[in-house]
Amino acid sequence: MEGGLNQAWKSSVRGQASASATVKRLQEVVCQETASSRGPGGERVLALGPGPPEENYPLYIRSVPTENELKFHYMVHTSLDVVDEKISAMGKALVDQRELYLGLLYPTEDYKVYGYVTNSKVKFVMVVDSSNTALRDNEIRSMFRKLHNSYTDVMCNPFYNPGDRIQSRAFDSMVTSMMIQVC
Amino acid sequence: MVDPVVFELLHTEMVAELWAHDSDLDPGPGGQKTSLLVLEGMGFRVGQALGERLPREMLAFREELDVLKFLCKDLWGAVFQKQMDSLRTNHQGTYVLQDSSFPLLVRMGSGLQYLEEAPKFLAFTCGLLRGTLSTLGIKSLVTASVAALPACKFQVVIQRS
Repeated sequence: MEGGLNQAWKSSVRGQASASATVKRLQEVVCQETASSRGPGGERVLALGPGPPEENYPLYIRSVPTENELKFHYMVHTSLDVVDEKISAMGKALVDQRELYLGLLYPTEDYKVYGYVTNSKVKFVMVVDSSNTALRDNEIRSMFRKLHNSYTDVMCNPFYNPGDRIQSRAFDSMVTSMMIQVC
Repeated sequence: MVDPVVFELLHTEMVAELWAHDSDLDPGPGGQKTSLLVLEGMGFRVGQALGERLPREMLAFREELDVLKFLCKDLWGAVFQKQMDSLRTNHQGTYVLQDSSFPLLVRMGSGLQYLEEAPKFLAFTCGLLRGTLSTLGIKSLVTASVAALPACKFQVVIQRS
């Protein structure tokens, strides 16, 4: 199952695809992913790879629950532009802030999107249901910190080649426990 | 924290092991090159992981010079328990990092004895620098040179595409 998912992703999301092309190719992904636990709110967690903007591809993507997958994948992709904008603002010293946590990227009517970028230019994007008002800023920050720590552990794993999709079960279970806690 | 001598001994054995097998296969410069590449590759993967782990609690790097300073202070501090002695740059993508008492060479002696053997012991560290830079988003070419033990220089040339 995981192998199939890998293939679909590798062939589908590389490079700057136009919106319709992205949606079309992502159709394959939805059919293949197994259903995760269902909760009242929706939350997606996505870690994206490094490299120049044309090469942002996902290292890991997970969502709970799994209906409306495409919408979330698309939202995450569009939020990448906002992340890049914030990173370049940091670089030009327009903003004094040099933190890794990027905060609320943009709110839509149903969802809030949060971003975080590491020094190695790996971007984490989290999409949370707006109805989930119990989530506070510092909770989001600590979630990102946990993600960053787990990603660092994945990097230090000798069986992981940097740039591959993340297949570590330890990472999976950390993400699962985090999402269950929230939903 | 682990005693730094553990890494030094392990590193020495790595070099010795690679060179022992080398003489069986290809005693000329070709075989030696492979060993150097292997050492550099090992250093590269270690550098990639360290590049993710070490800057974790730090704020974002604003520019290239910040990354190089991180290498000289934090990376060297974590791996060799000391800081680089000097960092020079031509502001056009070339940096020279100088260590006047490089821990992996210090035990060999001081002066010109063993000068021909010294480069083998720098290959891993070149890879380490290149790997850390690569994780932090900088493609580079790292070479090292020794004029007199235990001082050595690492030259980092940024590859801009």
